[in-house]
Amino acid sequence: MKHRPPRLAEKILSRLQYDDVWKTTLGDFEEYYSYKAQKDGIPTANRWYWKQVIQYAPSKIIHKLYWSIEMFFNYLKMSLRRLKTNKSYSFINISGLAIGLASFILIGLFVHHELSYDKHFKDSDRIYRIIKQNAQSHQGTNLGAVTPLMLHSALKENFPQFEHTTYVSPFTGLLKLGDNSFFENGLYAGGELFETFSYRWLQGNPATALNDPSSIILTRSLAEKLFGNENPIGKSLDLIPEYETEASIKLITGVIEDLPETSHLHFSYIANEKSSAWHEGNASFWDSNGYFTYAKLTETSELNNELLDKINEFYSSQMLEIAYYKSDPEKLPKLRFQPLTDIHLKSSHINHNVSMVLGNINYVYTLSLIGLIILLIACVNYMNLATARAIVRAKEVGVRKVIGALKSNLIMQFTSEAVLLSLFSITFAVLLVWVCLEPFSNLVNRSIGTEMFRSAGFWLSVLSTSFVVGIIAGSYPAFYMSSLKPSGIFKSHTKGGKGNSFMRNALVTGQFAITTVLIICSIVIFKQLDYIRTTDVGYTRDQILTVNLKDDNFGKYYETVAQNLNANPNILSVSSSSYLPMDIQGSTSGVNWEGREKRVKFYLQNVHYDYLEMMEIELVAGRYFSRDFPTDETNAFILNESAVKGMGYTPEEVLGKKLVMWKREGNVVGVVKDFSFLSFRLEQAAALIGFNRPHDYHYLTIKVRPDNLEETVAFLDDAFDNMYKADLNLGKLFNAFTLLALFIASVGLFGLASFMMEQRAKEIGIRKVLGASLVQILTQVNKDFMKLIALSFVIAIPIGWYAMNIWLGDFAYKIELGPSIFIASVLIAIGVATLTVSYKSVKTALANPVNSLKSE
Amino acid sequence: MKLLTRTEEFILLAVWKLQDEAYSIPIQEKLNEITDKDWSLGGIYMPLERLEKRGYLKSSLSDSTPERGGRHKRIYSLTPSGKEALRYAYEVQQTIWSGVPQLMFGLS
Repeated sequence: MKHRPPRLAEKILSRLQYDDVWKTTLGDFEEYYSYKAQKDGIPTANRWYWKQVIQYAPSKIIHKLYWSIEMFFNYLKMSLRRLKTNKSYSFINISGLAIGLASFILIGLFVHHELSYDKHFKDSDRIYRIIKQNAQSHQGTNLGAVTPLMLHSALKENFPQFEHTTYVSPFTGLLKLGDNSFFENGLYAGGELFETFSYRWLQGNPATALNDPSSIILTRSLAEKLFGNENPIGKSLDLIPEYETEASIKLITGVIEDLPETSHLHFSYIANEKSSAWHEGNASFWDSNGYFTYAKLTETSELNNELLDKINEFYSSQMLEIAYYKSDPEKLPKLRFQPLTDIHLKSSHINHNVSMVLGNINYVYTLSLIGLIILLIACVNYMNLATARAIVRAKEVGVRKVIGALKSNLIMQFTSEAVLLSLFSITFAVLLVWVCLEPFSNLVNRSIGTEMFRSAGFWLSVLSTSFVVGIIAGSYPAFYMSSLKPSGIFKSHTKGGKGNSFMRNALVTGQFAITTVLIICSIVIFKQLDYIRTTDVGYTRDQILTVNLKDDNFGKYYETVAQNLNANPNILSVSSSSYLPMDIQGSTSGVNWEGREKRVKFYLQNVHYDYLEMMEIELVAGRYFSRDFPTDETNAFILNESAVKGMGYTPEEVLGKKLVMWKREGNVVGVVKDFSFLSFRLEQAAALIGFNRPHDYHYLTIKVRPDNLEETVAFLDDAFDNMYKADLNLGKLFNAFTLLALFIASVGLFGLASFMMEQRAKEIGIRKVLGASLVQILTQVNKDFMKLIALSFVIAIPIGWYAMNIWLGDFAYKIELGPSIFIASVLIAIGVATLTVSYKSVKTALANPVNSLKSE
Repeated sequence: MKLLTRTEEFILLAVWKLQDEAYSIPIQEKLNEITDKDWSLGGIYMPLERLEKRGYLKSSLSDSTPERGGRHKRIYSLTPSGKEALRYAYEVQQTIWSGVPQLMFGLS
């Protein structure tokens, strides 16, 4: 009977060395083992076999290590020599990889930042924000982040699955301490805020800090701003919330560490919600939504459909006690749960995310993709140049093989060469990142600081990235070069590696296809954003500046302020409104008129005299609000065309109709043209414009002379740009990265073309001697490249078209994807490619053929 | 000419006697048999290698066999100088023993 030695031991032994002598030795061991097993039994044989392992392994391992280190130094030496001798080749590779890696690192930092929102809270995976799904949509979505005040306590009392619940409401207030006063963002909070969110406490007791209605908790930076180095605990200050006049005295009961930027809520103090003027009115109504509610599940519970159904059942039962829903249960809203860590990136479809800087998961995906693409293009550069230059190195490969290098040794050599180059590039890349970090942070509107340069994780991931990039870039050249046959290499002068030209052509085509797609995308994005900025929105934004008035009582002083302002010769006119024209927030379907056949959803704006004239919103029928009709101030409405159409009238018919909205009523005195007051992503909607009531003076609007403009005032133009800030920044980023990709791809093409020209210098010399003209030579040598570039367009155009159709699909108002965009992209790509390829070929074609032909 | 050590001499003799079957394991067995003690495999690899380096032995790979996990055997054979070395060792032996009274061995 035949016995086999222990598997593991055999494996170890067989890994130690590869040569024939060792193999026969192993054969001996196996035979002897079998013999011993029969004679002395398996345990003894096993012991014997393991003894061999212990006896042989150490010396063999040391031997192996010694030689791999020795060889590694040899590879290193060869690589460094190669970098030194081929300076332009090294420059192309290192600059390409460095730029690619730098882009990748920057994007990686941004993505990491975006994904880390709210993860600093303990148990962040168990915390949810409750959102309300309405039966009707508002501003394009039926989801809203605000919920009733009592929801938090109702959840906690009725559902043991929730460990802690809390509710908050962000607001702005004036903090007064002695003669100093500051406008600061704060948070009204109630419930178990500090049990739900693990803030870092510097002073005070989280269990009791917010118990008293007069208590206030400051963040560290606010405490330092107000009190310097003094201990703020027990001191008091005055708080006047915006739109209120009464100050309330607050007692400081705690100080918490500032929140990191990666928090969706930002505030500098927390006050007890019970002290808010709104508390009484909201505390017991289920249909009064104004609070963010957060709930933390217990460790053992999970948020499944069963629990959700039960919660909604409970919610409906409360809501059905309200007459409005009882008569029309179709209108019942539902509750949904959003994970805390999703709030930052996945809330663009949810209304009322007040005082939050939101991110967008799609931008995160898009940028990640771009980062990968740029890195890939840089890797392809390396692959192309390395395989093209294989002819130069073929002799080295041949000699190494003849001396006895195995294929695996050569693979190792060429891969380590690429890794070395990549490690070289990463140092430049990190420098680039360091330089570009600030402009990049501004562009993405996040503060990504240099503090990550001190974290080990950053360096570890940077190093491993460059390692992986080196291995990827080096893999194809390594396999290609190591499979060259020594007999072929020495026998004849092989031509530039004909065998690998297919692969290289494919890589060049792919590279240019990707670049062209990027060019198409950036042109489309640029044009669409330009369209938004310059298209007629139905009102003017020139020379208009707006002031946000944080006082509900401003109506009292309006006339005085307006008179004073009008006295200034630089001011052309003054008016006021309750919303900015591009961002009208209030809406209602509760407008009644005689002969109403269907409900129409109106967005509500309130304005003062002269407002519509000043904004140049055109009149279609009737008149603007006018001081000649004093009843306008209480009894008049102006509609837009969409509203009139929605109601089913013509502009002339609707004039004089009486509209009733809650307790407000009035006649339609005018109809204006549609102006876009919603995002360009949404269709036009009906607008109802009333006259400012005393508490509607939220924005003061001033038209100034074009000269003498101070830059410190808030222009309507800027506010408009702000709405599309994320898109604008994406556009800028896209342009920047497209340029980089184009640069890297063309540098690679340049390297490839230069090398080909060197190889063909003699051929060109002969052609010239035989009488070929410059043009003929150029067409001859550029033909091959141009074929590849043309093929890349065939691939790129459909992809670009498809991708941009998806992006544009998001906008209600958009540009046409006409052929001009694609023609422009193709021209840019061809232009760049021709320039890079021709530079070297013109030089070669112009050279004196004697020089290339004289030496053999 | 350099004199062979005892082990080397035994190994060369074993290789000679084993002819086509002269690879490590039978050599080891032969040595065990001759000297009546246990030789380790490692203990004969070194002299085998040394002898091959000195040119007394040459080796070739045989076919692989299943009982060896599909691995080859390394079959050794004597080279002319190996034979020469053995012969020399024998002569030295003869010379050095000649004249020693046979009585010492209690043969008579």
